[in-house]
Amino acid sequence: MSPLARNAAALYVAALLLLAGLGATSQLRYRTQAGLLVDKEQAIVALATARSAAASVNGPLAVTNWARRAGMVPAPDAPNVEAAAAGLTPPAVPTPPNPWLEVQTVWR
Amino acid sequence: MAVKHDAPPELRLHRGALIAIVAVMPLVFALWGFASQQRGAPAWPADLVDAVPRGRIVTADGQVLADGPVDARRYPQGELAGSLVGFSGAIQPDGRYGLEGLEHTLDTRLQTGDHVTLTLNATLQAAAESRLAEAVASYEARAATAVVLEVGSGRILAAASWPTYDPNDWRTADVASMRNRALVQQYEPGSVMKPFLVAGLLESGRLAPDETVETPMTLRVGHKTFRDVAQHDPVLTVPDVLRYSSNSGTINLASRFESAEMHAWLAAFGFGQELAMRSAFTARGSLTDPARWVPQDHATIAIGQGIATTNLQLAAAYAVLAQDGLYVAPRLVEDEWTPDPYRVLSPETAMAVRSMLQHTVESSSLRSSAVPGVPTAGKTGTADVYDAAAGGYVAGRYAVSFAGMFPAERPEVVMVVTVHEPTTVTSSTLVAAPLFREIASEVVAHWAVAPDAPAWALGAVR
Repeated sequence: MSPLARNAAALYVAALLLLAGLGATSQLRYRTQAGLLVDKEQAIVALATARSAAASVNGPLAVTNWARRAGMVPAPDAPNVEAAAAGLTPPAVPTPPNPWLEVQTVWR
Repeated sequence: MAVKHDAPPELRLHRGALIAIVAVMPLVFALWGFASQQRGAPAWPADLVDAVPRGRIVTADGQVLADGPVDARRYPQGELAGSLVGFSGAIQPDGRYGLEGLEHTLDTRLQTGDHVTLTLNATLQAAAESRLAEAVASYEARAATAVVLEVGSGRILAAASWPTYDPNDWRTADVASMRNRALVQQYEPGSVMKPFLVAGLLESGRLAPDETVETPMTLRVGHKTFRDVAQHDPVLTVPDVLRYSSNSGTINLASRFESAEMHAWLAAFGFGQELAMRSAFTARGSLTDPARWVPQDHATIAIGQGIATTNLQLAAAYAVLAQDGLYVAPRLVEDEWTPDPYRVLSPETAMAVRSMLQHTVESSSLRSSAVPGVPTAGKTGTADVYDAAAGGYVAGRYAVSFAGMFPAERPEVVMVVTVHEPTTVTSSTLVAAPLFREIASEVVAHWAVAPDAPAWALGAVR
């Protein structure tokens, strides 16, 4: 019996163990890749959401509308704008007391 | 010498089982390991696994208008240029993913993953949309549009339409708000057309700039009576015909043209012609066959009724006056092919008409259309709106416009604004002219040059 034939069983078992090890490693890498893809998708969604949120604060349209609401005017219009400090609002008019007397009579 | 010991018969079965376990079980486990790879692993995100790459749509100043693969397409700027950008969705029978707007027209290019850079300036687009929204609300109008063109290059700096919508929420948006009105809404422009008639007459030698024209307050042509709105003298100079927007004066001037000649001149300015631009949906407007015109058609078209155009066409035509007589095809994408410019007017004629339009702004209540310190040339238009359902013009429904350019001596920008069917105020002088000034003011502010700087400086910084 040749040495190869004598060790065939051991080689066979070793090859099977190697195969099993490869399978386990493959599974591990698969799971890692799938997890990374899920993370990537979440990152894409988060980035898009963040971009939209940022645009709602500092996007051109948001800034333009904010400036308008804040009373800002384009520079060429500045000479036509009269800066006026906010005036004092008059005090609230107190509600005068009723000038009449209400009498209720209960008939028994 | 090896001695062979046969196992007792009762143990032979055990030896077979042992061999089976040692030889077969690892194989079974290995195969099971490969076969069960997906068991317990997180699901692959379908929109990434099957992702079809798609290019970005970006403004000239770097704002991202559309981004992401087909199944995860996002529009970070929301409403900004929404009706222009459009949206994409599931693949269509023609192989496109784009369903509307630039997403549709630029689909082939976007599918290759190529990014598209528009000529739009996001700041000016935002300023225009913001002002249009205010105007629509203030005047309780149906819609409003504005186009800002860069003189010399034909680059569209802003193409704003209101109402608009957020492409991120296109499924819930009103279909009417999806119309890119600045490029596709055709309307009868009214008096903003008058300068082109004057330009054609000057160029063809049928009119001298210093001539006077009879301008009665009413003029009957065929079975139709045309009336002037603003009170004026019975005889006016040509610049004053434009200043008072005299219908009778314009019709008298138009009588110097045969219908075919007038048609040819209007076509040369691009009216009724297909735009060369292929990057977006556009409309060609309407300019009917002059062979079918009766005298009142000739007169009506001379004052801008009976002819339909879009804001983009009108801006491109006004740009001829700004570009010393050259017609430059407008474009929306930076590397888009456009045909070579062609000459419509001599520089002298273009400058003469520009000067008249500057006179129009500076000598009347239209001063409200000019940015302080920036000479402006322009013209108003108040046009009746044709209602196909009613079969005619409906009283009280107007499209009010202002078309102009600045700085007048050496224009850098041409702009056309239109408010469709305002209800609270219907005068173009009170509605369109101030709207023009507001957007123009934003443009000048964006240049970051003092308004009283020389004209060359106004255009030098952009």
